[in-house]
Amino acid sequence: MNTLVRFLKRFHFVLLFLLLEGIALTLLVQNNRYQARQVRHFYNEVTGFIFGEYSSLTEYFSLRRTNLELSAENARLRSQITQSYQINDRKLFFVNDTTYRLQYEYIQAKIIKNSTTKRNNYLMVNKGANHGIEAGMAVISPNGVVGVVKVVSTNFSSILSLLHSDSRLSAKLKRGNFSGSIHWNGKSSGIAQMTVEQQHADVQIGDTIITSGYSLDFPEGIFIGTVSAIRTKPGDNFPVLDVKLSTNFNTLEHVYVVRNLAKDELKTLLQQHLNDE
Amino acid sequence: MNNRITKNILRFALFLLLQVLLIDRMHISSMVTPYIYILAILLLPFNTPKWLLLMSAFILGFFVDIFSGTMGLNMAATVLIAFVRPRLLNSIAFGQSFDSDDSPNMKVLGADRFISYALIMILIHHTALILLEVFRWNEFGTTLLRIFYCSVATLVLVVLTQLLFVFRKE
Repeated sequence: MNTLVRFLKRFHFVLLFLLLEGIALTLLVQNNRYQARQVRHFYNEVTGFIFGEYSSLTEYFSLRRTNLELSAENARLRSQITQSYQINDRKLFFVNDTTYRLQYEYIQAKIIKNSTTKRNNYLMVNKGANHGIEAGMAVISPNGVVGVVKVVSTNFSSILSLLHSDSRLSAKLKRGNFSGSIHWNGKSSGIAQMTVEQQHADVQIGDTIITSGYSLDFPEGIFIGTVSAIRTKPGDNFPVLDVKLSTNFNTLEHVYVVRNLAKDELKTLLQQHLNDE
Repeated sequence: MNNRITKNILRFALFLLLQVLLIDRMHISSMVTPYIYILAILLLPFNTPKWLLLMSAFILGFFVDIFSGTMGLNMAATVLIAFVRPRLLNSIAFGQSFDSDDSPNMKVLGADRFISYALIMILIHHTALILLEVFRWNEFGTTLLRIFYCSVATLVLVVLTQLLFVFRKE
């Protein structure tokens, strides 16, 4: 303590000078924008130089990992060049068979934008009117139902996901043929709700739900999911089912857009029927 | 004693007002701006405590900065010359002893010693001030030229003030 006091006494002039000069320079840099910018610039240059030198030193240590990453990327890119692809954009197989007539045509498409966390979710795919896609077509994935094409531009399409408040999908129980309507309450991206239209339907947990084929767009029998919970409101005999969706919307990459070749005929028929009534 | 303190405080106020109300408003040229206010530091008595020297320089610079909107700039330069002053005066005095209540003015020091004392102080102050204001090394030639012109202008004013106030009293 004594030493400290003596030190302070001896050097008080220099220390006070350094203190006051420090305050003055701090004020200068803090209150004058030009000087502040110059200081920041200098600081950036210095730290940039140091970090640049440092990383040029340390990058040798990660060369092995960098090589692995680059070779993995090479392999991935090699698989993307056109020679690696089988051209399957418009795969139409005509079978001249009078017993079987092709009704559904599948157009392969890749998801370029996807959302699952909002209340109303959309997807975008890299195929559009040029590839034969029209609004209203069904979209399915290898695992199950995805949604319905909403808007089509020349090369891209926007898809109304099943995870959307406007989505309604006609569905049925595979086992008992009870039909109903699938909608999504927005609570969990893996669970949709199904309102069964028959009273006292015999439903059990684990039952498989598939598309009904009553809609003009979805083929019959596409997998939707399995029943995970059965809820019946008091005084209401129509059960509401929680359906665990088979499509994982979070990891979706490739989908098929379904074209119903008989749609126009069915539509015309329905229109005539309505007109006759 | 009291009289001497009052005199010094009045001198501070006078040079401060002269600087901020007159010289800073004349806008002579950006190349030639005298900073006469440092004469208040130059003329503090020999026996001024060192800490008071620094504090008064700090406060003087602060007020100049407030009026010219360059916070910290004049403070830094003025504190610097206050720091240099005791050593400089020692070497200027050359072993000769002065009445410690006196101010190191032209009459006490003698013309040649006073002018070299003032010139060194002015050069240090202006170099610090202008370098801090320009704050970069390009256009260094122009900056040097500016330091030179400003220093000459200040020195001329300092000598004139000394001739007017110190020698008239005789």
